[in-house]
Amino acid sequence: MVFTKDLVKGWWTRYLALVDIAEENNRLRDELKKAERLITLTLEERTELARLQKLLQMDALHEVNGSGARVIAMRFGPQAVLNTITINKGLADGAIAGTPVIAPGGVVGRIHRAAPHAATVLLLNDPGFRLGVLSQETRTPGIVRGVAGNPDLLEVTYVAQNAKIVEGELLITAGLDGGFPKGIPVGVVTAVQPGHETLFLQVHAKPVVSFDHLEEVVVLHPGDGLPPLVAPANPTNALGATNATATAPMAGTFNATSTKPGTANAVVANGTGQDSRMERPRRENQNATTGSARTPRRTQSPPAPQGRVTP
Amino acid sequence: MNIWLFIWWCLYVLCAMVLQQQVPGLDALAPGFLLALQQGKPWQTAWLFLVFCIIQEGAGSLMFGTAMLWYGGTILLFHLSAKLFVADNLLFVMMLSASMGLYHIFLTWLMCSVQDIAISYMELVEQGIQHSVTIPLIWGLAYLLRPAAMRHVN
Repeated sequence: MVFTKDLVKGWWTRYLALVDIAEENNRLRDELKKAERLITLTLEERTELARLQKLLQMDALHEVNGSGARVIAMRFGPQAVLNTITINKGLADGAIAGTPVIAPGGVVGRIHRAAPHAATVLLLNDPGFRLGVLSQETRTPGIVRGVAGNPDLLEVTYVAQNAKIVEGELLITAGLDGGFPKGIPVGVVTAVQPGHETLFLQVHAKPVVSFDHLEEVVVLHPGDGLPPLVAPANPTNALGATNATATAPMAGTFNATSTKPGTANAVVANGTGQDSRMERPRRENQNATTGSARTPRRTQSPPAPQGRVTP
Repeated sequence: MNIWLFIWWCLYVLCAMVLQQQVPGLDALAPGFLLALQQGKPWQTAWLFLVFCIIQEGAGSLMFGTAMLWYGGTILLFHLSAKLFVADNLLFVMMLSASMGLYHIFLTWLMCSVQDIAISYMELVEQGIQHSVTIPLIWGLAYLLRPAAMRHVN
């Protein structure tokens, strides 16, 4: 009886009563056309962007080298007072203190301390973490830090009272600290309130990355155009000293002239929480002694700008 | 140290690691250390001190030396308390774990202040209470499951 009922019902909904299906089909066709138009427009804008960048001799925005790493341990033991994870890349892989770490969704943190083949990453939601950010729509600058006792909350400090930042806006890295490239998603604004006793707005955000479910991350090594990271004497203080008004050269501001066609992968965060890969030229002779592009590249003196420095 | 005792300690450390992985901030090795102190074998205590310090220092994010101060302080508290009370009962361990909870708060606050690390004091107090509550529980379980070689030696 039940079988017969299901059979009849299936015949009716799948083969006879198709009014809703036809409407849905039309709607999907319209959405497909809109998406195709959007893709065409985006491709046109991308080619225009490439032409303008070439015209102005600007490097592409997110060109950095990244290497994947696995999370091998989370916060552990009574002496683990910081919000950290441990990854399987260390000094031998070029991961020194201060090296930025991201995930497919956005910013994860910075390397706090490194052993030869493992490193501890200070997470974005730690109260001691600081990162200069911009809001994606209104371009409001601020500094993100973790909130003690609430790992799912970030606080955006030094946001001016007259800033137009709104709830739901995406926060992206400002690219001013010499580590994180500009435009990587950091969090989503959840609350904007006037400050009671300060000259700044009280802004809270939620991280885009779920730190409880991290399995793989990407350790960002500075590209040819990025200034090299210098291992600070005290990593904690160095991490806490980062701010949006840092005077370090912006990411990708040096012109690299001694390049040759190569196929080094570059991690590209497209501002929507998704990463993609792109081809970019590899710097010739990054390490004349070992032929490796690892630690020595990070510790040598900054590459001298060729010609001029473009903003 | 006989082989069964060695295997028991290995299993204890393994279980403690799993427990610490599940509960951030918990020291599941400390109850075992208390058990070793109660047993009163200096060499065994010394080996465990070394192993536990290496584990906790490696896993922690504070500067080297914090775990030594933690377990060193535990030894001091144990011997001071043992001069006043009988060391081999649950009430003693409960009193000792309460003082260890306070010591954990003080030590972590001190090391974070020295290293200029921002921490949540509410979380720190919660961790101290957590230590005070969990140490007697884990100690009681380990006390019941301890091998014959560790019984009646205090």
